[in-house]
Amino acid sequence: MTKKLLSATVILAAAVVLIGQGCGGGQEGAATLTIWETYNDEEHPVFKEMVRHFEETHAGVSIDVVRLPFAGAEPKIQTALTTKTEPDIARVDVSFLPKLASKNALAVLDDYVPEEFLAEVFPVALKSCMYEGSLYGLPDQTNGLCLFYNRELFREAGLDPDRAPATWDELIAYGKKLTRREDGVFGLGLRNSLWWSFPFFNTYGAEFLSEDGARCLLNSPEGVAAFQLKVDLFEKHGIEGGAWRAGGIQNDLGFQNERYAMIMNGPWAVKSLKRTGIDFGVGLIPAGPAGSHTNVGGNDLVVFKSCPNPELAAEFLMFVANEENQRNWALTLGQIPVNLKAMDAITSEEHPYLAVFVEQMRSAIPRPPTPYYPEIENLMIPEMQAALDGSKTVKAALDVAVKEIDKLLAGE
Amino acid sequence: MSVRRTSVARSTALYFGLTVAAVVVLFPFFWMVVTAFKEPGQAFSSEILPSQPTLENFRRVLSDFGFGRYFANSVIVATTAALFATMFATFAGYVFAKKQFFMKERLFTFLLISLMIPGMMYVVPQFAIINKLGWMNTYRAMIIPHLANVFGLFLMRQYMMTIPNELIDAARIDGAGEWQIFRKVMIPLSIPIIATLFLLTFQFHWNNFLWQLIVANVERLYTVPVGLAMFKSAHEELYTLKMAGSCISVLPIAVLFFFAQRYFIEGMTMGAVKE
Amino acid sequence: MRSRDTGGGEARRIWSRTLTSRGRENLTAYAFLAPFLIIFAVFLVYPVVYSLYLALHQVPSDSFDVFGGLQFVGLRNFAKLFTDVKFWWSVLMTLYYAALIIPSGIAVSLALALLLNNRLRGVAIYRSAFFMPYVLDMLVIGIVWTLIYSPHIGILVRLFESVGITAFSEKGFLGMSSIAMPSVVFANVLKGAGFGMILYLSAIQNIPRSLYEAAEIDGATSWRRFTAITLPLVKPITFFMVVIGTIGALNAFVEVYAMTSGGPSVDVGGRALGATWVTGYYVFDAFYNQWRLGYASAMSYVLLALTMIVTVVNRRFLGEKD
Repeated sequence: MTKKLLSATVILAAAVVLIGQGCGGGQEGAATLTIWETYNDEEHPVFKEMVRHFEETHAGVSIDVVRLPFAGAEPKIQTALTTKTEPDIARVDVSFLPKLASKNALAVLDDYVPEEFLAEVFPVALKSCMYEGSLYGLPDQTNGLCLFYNRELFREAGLDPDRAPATWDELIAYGKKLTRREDGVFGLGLRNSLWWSFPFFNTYGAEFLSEDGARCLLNSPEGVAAFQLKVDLFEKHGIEGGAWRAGGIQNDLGFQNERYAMIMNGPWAVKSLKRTGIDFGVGLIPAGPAGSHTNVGGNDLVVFKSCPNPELAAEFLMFVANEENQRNWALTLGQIPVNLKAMDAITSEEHPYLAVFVEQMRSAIPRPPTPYYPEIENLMIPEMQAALDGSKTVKAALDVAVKEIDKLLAGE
Repeated sequence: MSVRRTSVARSTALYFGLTVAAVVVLFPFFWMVVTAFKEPGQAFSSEILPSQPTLENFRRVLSDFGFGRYFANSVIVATTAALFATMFATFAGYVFAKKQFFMKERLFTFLLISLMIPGMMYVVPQFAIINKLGWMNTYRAMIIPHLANVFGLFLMRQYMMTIPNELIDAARIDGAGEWQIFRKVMIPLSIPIIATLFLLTFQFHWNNFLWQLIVANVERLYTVPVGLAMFKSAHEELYTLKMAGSCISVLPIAVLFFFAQRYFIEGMTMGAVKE
Repeated sequence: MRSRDTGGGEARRIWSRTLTSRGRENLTAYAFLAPFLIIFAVFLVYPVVYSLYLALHQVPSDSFDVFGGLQFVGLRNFAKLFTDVKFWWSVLMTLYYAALIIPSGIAVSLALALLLNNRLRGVAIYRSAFFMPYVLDMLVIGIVWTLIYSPHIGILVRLFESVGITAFSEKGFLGMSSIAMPSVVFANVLKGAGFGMILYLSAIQNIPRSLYEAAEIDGATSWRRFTAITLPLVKPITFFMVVIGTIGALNAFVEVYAMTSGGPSVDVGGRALGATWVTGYYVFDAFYNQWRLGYASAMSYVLLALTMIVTVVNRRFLGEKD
């Protein structure tokens, strides 16, 4: 037994060393780019195809694509940066870019991306790549929330299945007709993070941060009124099903299970919803006093400072964001293109869902860049939750949150 | 008393109690398996058994997500790591249990303290070392930093303390050297705890996500936990796929446990009883 | 030549004389320890020392260089910790968590062990069944529990509704601040009970039957036999469970991450804080989401100090000595 164990150990030890060596290192080449990306399993093959196409049209260039799970991507990138083992290019969430830029990890791309090209890029998405006046990346994907509604439930409630509520008041009226508490069916299901609340703040004209990024302004009268509406939908009007709760039925699952007749969701949800066979429509975010403005999420491709070939890397970024690739990306995956010319190719006749998103995005309001976004989310969430479950007034909750956020922004 | 007379009633009650307890304890496990057979839209439905069970989740996990490769990597990493970690802990546990040496108590205290620091704090410095050694993208990087398992050493020491010193003395009188005593006396008597520790370290490495992701910059080195994390993107989580992947990932541990059970139970007991 | 030879022999003799007993024992001991200690020294001592160093520093706001470029801030991280309401709340929640999970973990383990301590057919199958959840991944188990606990359609809510209890229907188990923590603990106890069960089972089986028989003759009830014989004799296991339970509770974060992300919120002196916001989760959040390494390190060290205090107190309390 022991003998066997020992010999097995020795063999294994040898194996580890050999295998280990076999895997070390990478090919050397003048023009190799390494990309870390977080595409999902539908996007990944489309992206790989794009990469192959780039390699074909650029002789001598080889691109190494590594797919990271979304949940571990940021810690992995930051750990790599501590030892300067980062890749050349990474795909990062728009909220992560300012942190990378402020910590001097990224290459400034102003010299590599011509003005004419920038003019083609969807401005709302491009804004997420700017930090303190410099360009640090190019968007590869942009998104924002719209209102999804279940046409079948609309019909049952005697509502027009081809028309989403246009204003918040209308949404409340619709919601009252759609809610059937005894069956556990609610007019609406909402999420609770700050990002998912921006459609409320934006339609009320509430500003997120001051111009210089040093103060949070969400406890302004507009901000309070906006969030009061979110609270009222649940508390006063009783049309929201508590989807925002820890451990609650999330909006998308509740919608799939016909628990919520309306939810806010992004373009990523269209494909999987179609698969479930639910008859649904997509409308604009209901208008508030300031009109209909959604939030902005998405991803940017960034080039790290250590990249020996930033010009080539920038060329790849432009390749991903060019008209042809963006049109292909949008039509294959049903996502919002980041290229204005590609946007024009999307007609409501051929792409009814996507066209709504494209229209909505044109008036979307991006977050001002701040390296502290994750921390701000963190400070907001419990306070917003307290306001939602009624243990605090909206004003009191937002005041406390803003106070803490201001402390954070002041570097305390 | 009247044990015999009430034995039928008593054993019925016992079986009832055991069964209820088993149902409760195994319910999450059962739910995981059931969810793996559900349609994606039904992940949260409360029906006990899916009305239309599907194998689609398993098919996608295995083909579209390339779980085979992840699985192979995890087997290599977890097996090797468990083997060496167990071996090193056996060596070290032996001397902490049976030998007197310079700085013994202080060393032991220091080892125990290291156990109380959250594992996350080790990640960045360990990564820096791996990088200095040029071990990025190797199995070595996934395995070697975790081979000094302090908890394992602790268990091993506790267990070995229960082995009578007389056995060691007798072997020494018979002319056995240190190595022979270890091999011929300690190892055979410690098989239960060795099996135990093997299983525990195997499980640790089998589930280790962050570290294995951080040291692998190539997808062909990804392991099962990294693969499981792929089912979650920015706004969506593919629950049914995740459950199917988990069902698959549980298999080796279940098999290992099944075979090691007898040793395992014995090993755990002795390890802790002697405080 | 000769004298040199003699000298060599002399040296060898002195060497081997000093080596006898203590020296040789030390050498053998360290030879056995070597593989473990080398790995420990390289991969654990350095990080432990480094994290203490980190706790006294701050990652500069304009770089990722956490090795060369750290800013020395002295005890500022600790000073900040002492005024951080969120941190002290997390300590409180950790103690609450420990106070729930340690006794209930022990009780469930012991109960299962007592159930299994009977000559019945198929006991081995039950034993495996009870142990099985212990080897599952907490992340996966956590997701399953969120499905079970969810409001309106969760299986547990349905179960309660079927007997007329609707108190949990609206919010679900993880959405109510008063029962979120017990719910997390419950899930975790069921997962871990198999481990303690095995410890207790073997300890109980080691108790001589004669003790019980004698007690029976004296007319002791089965409850009395349990409290007078079983409990005192499994005390070493109980102590062991308390120690590893304490270490586990003070480092707990995966269960919280998987189930509640620290929520739901409760009002604490005007601030909304998480009902399951344990320190382990705060450390995770500071490290993983915010990359505040210095602060996370400082928390780890305060946590370490607390762990040691609690361990010592436990020892006193249970009257155990090594």
